[in-house]
Amino acid sequence: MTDTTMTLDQKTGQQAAAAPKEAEMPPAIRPATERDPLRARIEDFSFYYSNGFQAIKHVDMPILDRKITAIIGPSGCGKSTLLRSLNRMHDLYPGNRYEGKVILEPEGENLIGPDADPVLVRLRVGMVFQKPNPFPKSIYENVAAGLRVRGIKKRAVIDEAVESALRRAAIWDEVKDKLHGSAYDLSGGQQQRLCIARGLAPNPEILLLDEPTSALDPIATAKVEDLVQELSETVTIVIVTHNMQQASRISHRTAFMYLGEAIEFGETAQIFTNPRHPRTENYITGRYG
Amino acid sequence: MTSHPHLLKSYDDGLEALRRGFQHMGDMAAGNVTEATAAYLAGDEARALGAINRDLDIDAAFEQSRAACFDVLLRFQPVARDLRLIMGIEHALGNLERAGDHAKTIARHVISATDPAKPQTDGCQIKDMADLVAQTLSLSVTALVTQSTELAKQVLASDARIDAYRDAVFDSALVALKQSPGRAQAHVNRLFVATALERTGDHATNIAEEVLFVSRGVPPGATRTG
Amino acid sequence: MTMATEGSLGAAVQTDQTAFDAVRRAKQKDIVFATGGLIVMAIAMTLLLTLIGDLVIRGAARIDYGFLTSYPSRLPERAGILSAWVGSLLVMLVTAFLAIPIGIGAGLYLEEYARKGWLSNFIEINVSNLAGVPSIIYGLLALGLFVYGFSLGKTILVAGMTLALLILPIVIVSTREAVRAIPRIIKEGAYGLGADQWQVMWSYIIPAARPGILTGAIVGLSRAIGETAPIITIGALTFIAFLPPAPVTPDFPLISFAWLNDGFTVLPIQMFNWVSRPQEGFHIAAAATGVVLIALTFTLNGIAIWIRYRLRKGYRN
Repeated sequence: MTDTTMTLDQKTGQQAAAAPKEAEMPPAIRPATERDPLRARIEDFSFYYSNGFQAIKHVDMPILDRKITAIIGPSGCGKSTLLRSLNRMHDLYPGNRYEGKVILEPEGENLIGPDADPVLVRLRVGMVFQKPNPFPKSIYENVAAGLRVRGIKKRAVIDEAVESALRRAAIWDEVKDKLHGSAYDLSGGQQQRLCIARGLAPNPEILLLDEPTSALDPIATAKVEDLVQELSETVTIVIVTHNMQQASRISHRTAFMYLGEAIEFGETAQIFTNPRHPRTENYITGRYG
Repeated sequence: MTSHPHLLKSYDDGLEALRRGFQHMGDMAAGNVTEATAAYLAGDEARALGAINRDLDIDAAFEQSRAACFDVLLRFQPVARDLRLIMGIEHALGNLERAGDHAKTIARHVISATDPAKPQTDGCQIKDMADLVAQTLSLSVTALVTQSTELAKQVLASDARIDAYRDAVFDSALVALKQSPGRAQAHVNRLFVATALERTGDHATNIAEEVLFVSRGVPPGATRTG
Repeated sequence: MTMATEGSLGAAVQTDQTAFDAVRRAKQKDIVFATGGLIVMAIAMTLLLTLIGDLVIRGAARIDYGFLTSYPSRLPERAGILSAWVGSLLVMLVTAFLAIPIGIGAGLYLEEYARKGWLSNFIEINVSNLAGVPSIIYGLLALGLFVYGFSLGKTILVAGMTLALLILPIVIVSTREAVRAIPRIIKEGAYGLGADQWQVMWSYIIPAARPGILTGAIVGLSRAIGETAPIITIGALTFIAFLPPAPVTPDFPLISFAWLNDGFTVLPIQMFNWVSRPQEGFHIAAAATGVVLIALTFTLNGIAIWIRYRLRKGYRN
């Protein structure tokens, strides 16, 4: 036994030295059964890009109803890919492939099933992007866009939904006097809150936030964070972030992803004070390995 | 548990400085316990004054180390094991500071004694107790610095022995009070010294519990059995 | 230790000196290049301005109300370009109506709907190549296909169709470029709201790509207005003393398409015809026609620039 290891070591040098280390690593920690009500369940979910690269490997993750779930992990770990899978963004580019299930509760509908229409999925699961991306239209039209897409034409209905979404996004007071001005005249932070309002207007069941504050200054970031926390009382939120302090501040559950796998999922306080998996610990404490 | 270095070298440096400061303060506190007790046993007022003055150094080291804790918290916003270590050190620093105060209390009894020049004749138990307490305190400091749960468990085991010493001193003092009421002051002093030593031992126990929290992430309450 | 520090300091000073020299040399190169560029540009602009200036000096005085409202004549001083500019206008009308919708449709289809594969690559390469095919080839194609094949005759409709074919690649390519230039996050944002492809196309892609598409269309038209070769090939008349039937009629149904099947001439052909005559008076008339033609082209380009400027302002992020 020892002899074999030694020859292996001598032959392949570094690789052999790294291999036993990998083997020592405990397997990913599967999420415990949640007692809180769920809004969605990700089950044995895998995702392949059109070039055959498997970006997500057999991920299991619960999404709690009206709670904030944060996904953290190093660049390229698949966290954004996972988020974009939840509203079928990958269907915009040909050749991408999903496997497994994303079950929307309580109906039990599989969002990535063959008979789920991506357009209908996106009507139920809204998305806010990394960089504020208001449409080149007025503030009012930006928020109304999601309603117009749904074929809502009644002026009164749209007016009401626009105001309510802007109020929920805590930006109403700043824009109520210039609703018909260009969205591009807003500051970056206001634009991002406008994008959140746009996502909220059609009343989605889940709102996905893909690093929503990475392009914002600290003051705008604080406003968005407060907003996200307030929103979690009424809507289920999944947020991807590079900022671990942010994840620890605003989320109720945190998932740590590494190389396409969900390594650990748990209560945010537990993940950030006493993570179970060494890889999680190394990542959040900023260590090598 | 093997620990990888941080991506930020200054982070490791900060934590290392924190550990060194804590170790240094631990050495001073344990040393002062031994020194104050020796002064008490010898009835040496000059040494006792020295011990009292050294407590000021311990207090200064305490302030310095606590500032270092804030500095690391502020600069690196530690989480997980690092956060627990810093919180553990911060609590342990308080315990060391209190242990230092107990050493000062012992030294004060030398000065307040009516007949300080006379060496203590019944000091055998106190001497052994002080040695054990100083050793346990050092051990608890080492346990936290190296995050060794083994050493921490040894500290927790020692605490029972320290308590037994205190009880023995108490019993013998009661007997001595009846036999020679004329030297009541000395006997009462001995009781105070034993109590101070026992309290110091409790602080070592607290530090050992911090070690368990730091390395396992389990709150100290969960490890307390009674 | 001290030695090493001094050594490295000395090296640092030397490096600074080298760096200053390098920067100075680079600046000198900049100046040489800028001067060379200025001279080349001055030559090109002088040639162009001389050409235009020559036309203007010789022809501008000839342009008056009579010149614009008279038919061609045997007498140079009585000749006008009425039939030519009306012909140009009508041919452009047909070209625009054909090339712009078809070109935009094809561009959008290729960019947004068509599956990316060897076929779409093949089409893309060919569309780009078509933009570089000499215009006379289009003329020959039109002559063979429209005039003889479909027996459509030498009419305004055929001329418009020919020029539409000619500028179709320009419109397609510029449409695709404009669509491709739309930031991906805008498109994804629209899709993310649950919009389907048709909604994204109409409400987001076309509005955002409008400046680029319109610019391409107008640049295409301004090329078409100056084309002579294909029009000659399909057999435009050179001497027309009548106008096609007016598109608007006083009787029901008010709009007439009879003009489509009429013979015609256009400005460049009128100019070509006059240049090839011996009389000096016709040469002056040709120069005047040239001025009108250049003015038309500049106007179209100016409109393109204005549209691009106006619309892009609203869409810049």
